[in-house]
This record gives sequence, C-alpha cells and structure tokens, in this order.
Amino acid sequence: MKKEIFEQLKKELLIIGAISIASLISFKLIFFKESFFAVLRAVAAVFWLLVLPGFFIMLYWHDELKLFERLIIGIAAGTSIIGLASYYFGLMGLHIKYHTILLPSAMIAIGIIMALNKKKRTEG
Amino acid sequence: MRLKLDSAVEWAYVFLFAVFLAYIGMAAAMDHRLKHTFPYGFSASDAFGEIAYTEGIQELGSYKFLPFYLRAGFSDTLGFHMPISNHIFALFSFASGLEVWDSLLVTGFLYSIFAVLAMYLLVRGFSRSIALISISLAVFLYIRNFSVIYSWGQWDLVMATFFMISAAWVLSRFELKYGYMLFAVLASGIALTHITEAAFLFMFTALFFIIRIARKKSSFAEIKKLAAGGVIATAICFYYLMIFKLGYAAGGVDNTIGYHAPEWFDAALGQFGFVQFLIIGGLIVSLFLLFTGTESTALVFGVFMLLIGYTNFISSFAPRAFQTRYLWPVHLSALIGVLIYFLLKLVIKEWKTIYSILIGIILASSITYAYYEKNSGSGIMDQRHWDMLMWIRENTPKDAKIIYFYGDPYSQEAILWNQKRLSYRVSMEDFANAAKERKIKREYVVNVAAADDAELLYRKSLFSFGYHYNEVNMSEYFGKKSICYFDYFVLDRGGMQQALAQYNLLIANELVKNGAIAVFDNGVLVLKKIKVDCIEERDF
Repeated sequence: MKKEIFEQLKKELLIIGAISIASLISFKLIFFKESFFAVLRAVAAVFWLLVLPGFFIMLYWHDELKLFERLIIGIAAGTSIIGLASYYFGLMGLHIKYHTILLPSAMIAIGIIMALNKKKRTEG
Repeated sequence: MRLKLDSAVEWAYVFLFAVFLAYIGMAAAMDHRLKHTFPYGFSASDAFGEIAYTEGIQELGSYKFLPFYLRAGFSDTLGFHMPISNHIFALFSFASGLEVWDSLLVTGFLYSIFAVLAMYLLVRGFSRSIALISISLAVFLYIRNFSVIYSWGQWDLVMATFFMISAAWVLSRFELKYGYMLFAVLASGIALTHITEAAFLFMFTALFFIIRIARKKSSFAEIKKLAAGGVIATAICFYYLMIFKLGYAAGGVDNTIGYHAPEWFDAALGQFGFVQFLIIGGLIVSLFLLFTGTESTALVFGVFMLLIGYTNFISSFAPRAFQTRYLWPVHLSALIGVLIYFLLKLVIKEWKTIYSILIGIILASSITYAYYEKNSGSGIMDQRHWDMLMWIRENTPKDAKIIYFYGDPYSQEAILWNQKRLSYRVSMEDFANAAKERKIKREYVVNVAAADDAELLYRKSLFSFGYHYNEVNMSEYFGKKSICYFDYFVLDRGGMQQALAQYNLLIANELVKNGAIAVFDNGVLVLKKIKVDCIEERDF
C-alpha cells in the first residue's frame, strides 16, 4: 500500500525533476545576463516555495487527478496555504525568516501523511 | 501509446509557450537579469509601496503592525492591506537571495504565467483542442495597456486571479473527495490576496450553481459541501476580514449607477486589435453553446469575466472593472479558441492535436508580430536616487525627519518609504509659487509621505479599535510647516524642471550659510541641519 504511493511518487518526482531542469535551462537562456548560480537559486526557490508544497498537498488526490492538474492547481493551493500560514504564524509571533524552511517542509510532510492515510482508509 | 505521445507533445508545447511568455514578459522587463542594484522597471508609486510593505514584514517579522515610516510615525497601526502576496514576496526573497524588488517582478510575472496555465486546465476540461488554441491570447498580457500592471505593482491582483481561475477549475471538479476543502483554501487565499476577486468568485460560484440547478445537475449534498466550504473559508479569513471591515471597508460602498470611462492607461476590448473580432465572435458562439445545453465552466467563466469588465457602470465597481480588464488576455482566452475551433471543424472533420498547436503558434506569432513592443527600461528610479535613499536608511538616526524639495521621482510618494525614515514632501504648487515670487521662505506647504489608508487604524484593546487619523491634529502632517522642523534636507541639483532645480540650489546655499552641512552629494544633495534657526527668509 505504502509502496504503491511511493512508487507513484518516485515516478512523478522524476518528471518534476525533469521539469525543474528544463526550467533551469530556460531561465538561464532568458536571463542570459545573469550568473548561473543566481539563476539556479531562483529556480530552486520557485520549486521549493511555490511548486513542491502544493504538489505534495495535492498528492491526496493522486488517484482522482492527473499529474499536471495536481501540479498547476497545487501551485495555487500551496501558495494560498503558505501565505495564510505565514500570515497567521507571524501574528502569533513566529518571525517570518523561519517560514521559508518550516512551512514548505511541514506541507510536504503533511501532504505525504494525508495521502498515506487516504490510501489506508480506502483499503480499510 | 498514441495517447501518451499526444499528451507529451501537448505539455511540451504548453511548457515552451510558458517559456516564451517568460521571455517576452518577465525577462524583457528585467533586462534579462535577475539582480538589479535598484528597483528596475518600476513605474508607479504603488510598486515602490509593495517593496516597503514587503521589507516591513521581513524587518518586523510579521504583518501585525506596519513600520512607523509608512504610517506617519505611528508604530502601532495594523497591517490593513491583504497580506498574502507580500508574505509570498518576502519568503521568495529569502529563499532566492534576490532583493525584494527583484522578487516582486519574478513572482509577479510567474503568477501571470501560472494563471495562464490554470486557465489552460479550465479550458482543457472542455476541450484540449480548444485549450491549445486559446492559450495564445495570453501574449496580450505583456502588450500595452494590459502590461502596465507589472510595472505599476498590481502583482496581488495577478496572484488573486491565478487563485480565482484555480478555484473555478475546482468548481468544475466539485465531485472530488474533499474538493470543497480545496475550494475553501483557494477562496481564503483570494480574499487575503485581493478581495475584489473573492467577490467575483462569489458571484461566479452563485452563477455556476444556478446553472447546475437549472439543468438539474446539482444535488443537495453538493450544496451542503459548498456551504461547508464557505464556512471554512470564512473561519480562515475571519481575523483579516475584521481588519478589512474596520479599515478599507469603513467608508462603506458606493453602489450608485454612473458611467466611468476608461482613461489613458485602462485596458479596453479595442486594444486586442484584430483579435477583438475573434473575441466577439467567440462570445456569440459561447452563448449559443451554453444556451443550447453545452456544459463548460471555461465558457461560463469567459463570458462572466467579460461582463465583470463592463461593471464600470456601477460607481464602486468601476476601478475594479478596469483592473479586471488587465487580465482579460487570460480570462477571455476560451472565447477565441471556441470560435476558431468550431469554424475550422466545419471543414476539417477529423481534428488532430497538432492542428491546434499549429493554429496556436500562428496566432501567438501574429499577435506578437503585430502588437508586441519590448517593454524595457529602468522605470522611474535610477541609481543616483536609490543610492541617496539607501544612504539615508543606513546613516541617519531612526527618528530623523527628512524633507524632500523638488526632484522628479518624489512625485511618487511611496518611493520615499524605502529610506525607512519619517519623510515629508514640499508641495510643488507652493514651491513653484515661491520660486516665481523670488522668495526664499522658512515655511512651505508640506505633506507627510505616508500610507494613510484605513485612517491609520490601530488596536486599543482586544475588541476596541481607534483611528489615529481622526484622533490627532493632522495639520501637523499636511500644511504649512517651518523647514527648520526637519533634520535632513534633500535637494536635487537637476531635473526635468531646471527652474525648480535652480531654486533648490538657492535654498541649499541659504541652508549652508546657516550652518547646514552637506553629508551626501551625488547630484542629489543631502544636507544635515545643525542650527535650530536653519534659514533666513529673503527675496532674490
């Protein structure tokens, strides 16, 4: 059961990896006046902050939605959740400088747990 | 296998098209560099305000309060504007290592591309062939006047539009398990990014379900799920909505009917050039299809957003209607796709994906060739002025009060927030009159450079709020004031109006005669006051 999810995750992460490399090459081509490392860090930030959190949250719907649907709608859902969480955690006193690491990590973990739980319930 | 190849070709084309959009939009506006030593490509006060708000969040750690230099010296005023976009910009700046101003442009443009992709998904739910044609309209996003929103700093609108289209897509797949939760998250995101789009989503959702009920497609369970989504979204947004009600919405809403014409930089259907006829044709075809029972969320959404763009007849809607039009190249894309597809289907019986891609390429190339002009340029900021602002930020006491005399960029108030000190600007009308009268004066009409929106709302206790704007004597901030009240004087040595720049120098000389010392000079002169009696009035 777990294996099945992780197999799908592995396949999809390979595709996302390929997209990230294609994005890196494209960014370097269109920002041809910029250094490679600046471009690399910007693309990594896009994937870390905007793409991956949503992708993992949308993993819950892995059996109902296709990869590209989850990926695109995931960017919206992920941004929305990170933005909301950052706002409210900030109000509660957690300085925003910690959110860059904490929030995407938490969302990735929550996404995996949610997907595993759904699978368990479906099979149970 | 055939299906997989089709899918690979489709997504490869969509990816390349997104890269093309990034090239003509983001990369061109940023002069093909990610890092700039000053805010590059910014053309309006609002854009500089976004830098200040975002840096304020980074500095204070949250959006609970706004920095004092944005709020006329008050350090307890509440963050009143919708917070999500600024939080995302701040986080992206941390993660990417880019300055906030570069992060704003990168994320702002990226979200416009994400909106195009979300719209692609929405149209694809109706027909992939139509979606591949429709996407071409997005080229207009980076053509004037549609493109001004990026240099004017309306990135929150762009982000909210992406959320709204995604939410519309979720509505089209409302049968998803816990789909209403996804809808609630997106609706909350919209409300806390740009609340106007939340109102539009509310109206669209109502229309969507009215159509479903009329067609007997909706069930009670579905309505219950929608209500649950609404309750969850309201709960998530509750704290900010309270601030919004007390702040922005405190003045009420003007629902009078009155025509507001588009102005110089507003977008109108005519700016689509020859494509406007495809849009009008697509509208007719879409209405025909919808009234004859075709189910398509994308077509309903396209027609709906076209109508929203014409709500400029309702007074309070007018500015929002005009804002919406900037995103018409995304909203209306289904309309051109549906027209072209159904016309060609009359002659081509067996449609292939590649036909749609070829038509899409021809359409996108034609639009680019006919209308696109590279929109590059540094905007209203330059290195000299930015260096001066940064010098003030880094070398003056936090409580220093700064006065700005004539200088071309200072007409855009929010530029001055970036030096992070309480600052005032001399009224140019008063200044020009004094120059005409050949007088050097001690008192000039001045205005505080601050965001006084939401009447400087602050919290008195847990459930009690106040407005500094109504409680203090605001003539302190707007009106005649002795320039000797200030600690630093900023005077440009040159500018578009040479007579005013000359007058600046006369004042500078007079200040120096009375003890002021030059502490910074790169063509923009910063003088520090030494004596309390800082200037003598005289004629020249």
